[in-house]
Amino acid sequence: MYSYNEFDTDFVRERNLQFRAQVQRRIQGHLTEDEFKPLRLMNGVYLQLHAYMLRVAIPYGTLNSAKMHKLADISKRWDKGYGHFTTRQNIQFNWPKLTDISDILDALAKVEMHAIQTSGNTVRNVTADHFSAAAEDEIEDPRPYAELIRQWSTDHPEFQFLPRKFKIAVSGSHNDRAVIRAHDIGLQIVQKHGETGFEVVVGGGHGADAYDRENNSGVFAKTGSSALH
Amino acid sequence: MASKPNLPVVVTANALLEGDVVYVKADGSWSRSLQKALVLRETKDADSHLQTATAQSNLVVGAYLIPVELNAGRLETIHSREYFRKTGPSNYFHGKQTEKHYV
Repeated sequence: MYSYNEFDTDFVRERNLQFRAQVQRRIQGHLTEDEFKPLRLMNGVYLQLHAYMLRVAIPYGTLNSAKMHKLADISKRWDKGYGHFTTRQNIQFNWPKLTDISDILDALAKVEMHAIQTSGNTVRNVTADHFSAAAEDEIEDPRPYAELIRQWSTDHPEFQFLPRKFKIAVSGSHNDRAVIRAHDIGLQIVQKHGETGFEVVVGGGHGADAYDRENNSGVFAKTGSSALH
Repeated sequence: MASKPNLPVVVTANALLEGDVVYVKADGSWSRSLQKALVLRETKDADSHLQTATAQSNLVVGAYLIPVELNAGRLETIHSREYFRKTGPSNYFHGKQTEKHYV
């Protein structure tokens, strides 16, 4: 599991301060809802049928006990005592008040979590096989690669205003528990000719209009290559 | 532009601070209860109250009109979307709507 360095800590703290000020400006009437909406969405805050919803990123679905305790604490303190784990390995709190969300984000930051890029037309949480590092059929743990993609795509200026949301999944096994063929980009770790690399699947869809793609790219990218740079 | 709903209607929105589903009352304030909503039977009244509600962007988000009907003395929504907004999530009884002020 990735641990924040000083840059990460400062970045998230600064982002949370920005959002806290944006919320205040919305409440005070200095921002209209049309102006505020894209700002809250970039921080994982939706306004749904019944209430606000905050979607918190859980990169490749991996939590430690400190993070899990913090999520439970947040659900009790600021929500209704529960959260909803999503198919994309995040967690959603479905009943927060707008005025509490900045405090929730600060609480998340204490355990190196945030809600950045959990909504909007950007690269979303990179998912992986939920049995990573525990599956007998695994060639290699996919999560370090998911983490590399997460770091590369987070706050990347080219990906903040995509035409639509964009989803990437990584599997370390030929058994596709990460549902990579229903993602915009699916990476499957394979071994060919004695080398370990990825088969790349593109053009799948996820969500209400999910659809599968066969391995249509024909790409075999060796691990450790510079294809992502 | 969305077509206007059939009369009678009430004005609904989400509260800015809490996100709660709210309805305009006769005195112009907002209630969490549909039963306390002002029922508007004339197009000009509906348009006027919607305009007033939309201007209250410091209190609510996304005001709009919804058709309602009176059934055995109780106001009922007509569309499924509004039924879910009024009664809460459809999977089981939970959320803010379990609280007393939501009726």
